[in-house]
Amino acid sequence: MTPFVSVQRLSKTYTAGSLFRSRIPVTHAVRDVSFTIERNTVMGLAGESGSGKSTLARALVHLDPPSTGEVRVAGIPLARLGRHGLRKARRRMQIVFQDPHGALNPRLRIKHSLGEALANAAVPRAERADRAAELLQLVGLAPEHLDRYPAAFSGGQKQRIVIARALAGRPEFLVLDEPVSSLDVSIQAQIINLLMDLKRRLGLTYLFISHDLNLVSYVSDSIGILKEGELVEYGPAEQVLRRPRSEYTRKLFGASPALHRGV
Amino acid sequence: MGRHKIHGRDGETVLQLQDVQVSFSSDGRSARALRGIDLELREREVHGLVGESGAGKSVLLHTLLHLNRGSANVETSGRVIYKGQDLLTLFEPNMRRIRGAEISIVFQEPAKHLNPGLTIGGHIEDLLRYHRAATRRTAGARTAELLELVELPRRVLRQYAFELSGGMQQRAMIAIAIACNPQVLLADEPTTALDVTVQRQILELLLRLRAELGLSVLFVSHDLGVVHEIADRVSVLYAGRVVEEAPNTVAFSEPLHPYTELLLRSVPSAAVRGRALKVIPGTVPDASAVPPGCAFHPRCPIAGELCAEQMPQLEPACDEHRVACFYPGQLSALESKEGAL
Repeated sequence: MTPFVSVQRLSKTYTAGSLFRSRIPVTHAVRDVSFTIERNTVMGLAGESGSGKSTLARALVHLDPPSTGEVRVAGIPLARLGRHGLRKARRRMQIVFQDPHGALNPRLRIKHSLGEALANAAVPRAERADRAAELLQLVGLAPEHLDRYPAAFSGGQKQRIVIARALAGRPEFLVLDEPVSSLDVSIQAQIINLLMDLKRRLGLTYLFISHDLNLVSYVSDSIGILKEGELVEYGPAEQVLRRPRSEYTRKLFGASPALHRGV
Repeated sequence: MGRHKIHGRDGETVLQLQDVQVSFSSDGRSARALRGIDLELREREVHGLVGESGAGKSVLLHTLLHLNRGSANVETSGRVIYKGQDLLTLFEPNMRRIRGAEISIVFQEPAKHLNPGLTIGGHIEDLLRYHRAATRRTAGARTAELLELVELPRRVLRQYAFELSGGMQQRAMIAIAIACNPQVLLADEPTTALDVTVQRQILELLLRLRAELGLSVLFVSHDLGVVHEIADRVSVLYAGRVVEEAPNTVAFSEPLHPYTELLLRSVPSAAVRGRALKVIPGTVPDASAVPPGCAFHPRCPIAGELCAEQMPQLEPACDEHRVACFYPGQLSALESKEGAL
């Protein structure tokens, strides 16, 4: 069986230069990264700042297409899709960012924010109100929240709304880029439980990106560690946690403050 | 690392907070940020202060150094005893002699708190000339010594904050903070913005400086893991009050307050893989609408009628362990009973 998400030799370089000088690649933000994610599993991706986590996330869903390499989701190579095709494919995969405060338009009522996402997902106008209410319920909020503006919500609630919006087009694959990093410990736990619950109920597949190794160890079925744009560690979570192959992984886990040690 | 107790229960008190209350008011609304803090910082100890956002961690540190005073309507009461005097009653000229010299502070984002137009050496020189009446030459020698203490290369002296990495900026800020040999170092989330490997280095640096210079450190963080690594004693803050205080290992292994216990169990790790995380329902209350009685009671699984009516005081539960709860330790007792059924 082919894996649900497959990334082959993905690289992302940024170039310098101008109109008159040749554009030379200067930075390899991500270099030659390959991995696969099975359906309905979580791959955790960890690394320090500047290691290329977010660049990889954006390249993966072709927000910023990769310089070289291939991404396949459900067997479909994203690079071969045209603009229209990519738009359609994006309904099947969504990305959730760290900062829920910046992710919602402060001037739009929640029903309109969700309405936009539902329109993008080609949900007929007549069904949108019902679907919006359903989405809020799915993330543990109530339909009466639909008429409010983002300012009326706490950080945790906003992140729930952002997740609801990501689910508008019934995606199968979510890229979660530090989804709980800006939240308090007790609220983090609520959102993590919600995400794991949604994964089970909706059969979702996640790429879960975080700088927090304890969190990655908790959620992941497989784990990848990025260092300076390269995947220095990749394997089933149990194996990476028990017997990491790279010295860097060991150093990272060793430096990570923990309340409870060991598996 | 951490967890080594370098003093017993008779470590002398350097800083004692008694019933410290702070409220801010604007537009006729008032927010009670601190609602009666009792806290004691002992000599040469690292005292960890944990709490979620809005618990009052930063307000507490700012209050100690009168850094709140500039902002709108602040009302402060209670006492902060330092060397026999109450810091809260000091006038600015006297406070200025203490701030940055005897009690200094490092912040989460050094770049925001360093003058962008002043070199690192310039910061230290200013401080020494002001507090120690140093000349340019004597300041220079001390500056070199300080850089060595925090393991920064000489060249940093002539560099500006923006030229340094996050970790180096924090080292520079620590060098500035210890320039005048303070007794007390206040640390406000000093490693939160750093990567784990750099964080580890800064924590080790703080512990080394504590040992070498005899510093007493009040270390504020939202990160339970970090506090567990560095603190000798821990105070847990909730809605502007200390709800539990205990030696590090005790606080993390046998917490008595339901908030502490639930908070600890809501932290994800490899050890709890495959199990749902413990969740504390609801959110931290807003400082302008703190629930009556025990502020935690609306979120507490074992709260009784009493909890909504009366505010529990921070009282000794056993040796070196204080808790503000009418039913200390009852949460785990209740759950083990349920588990047995």
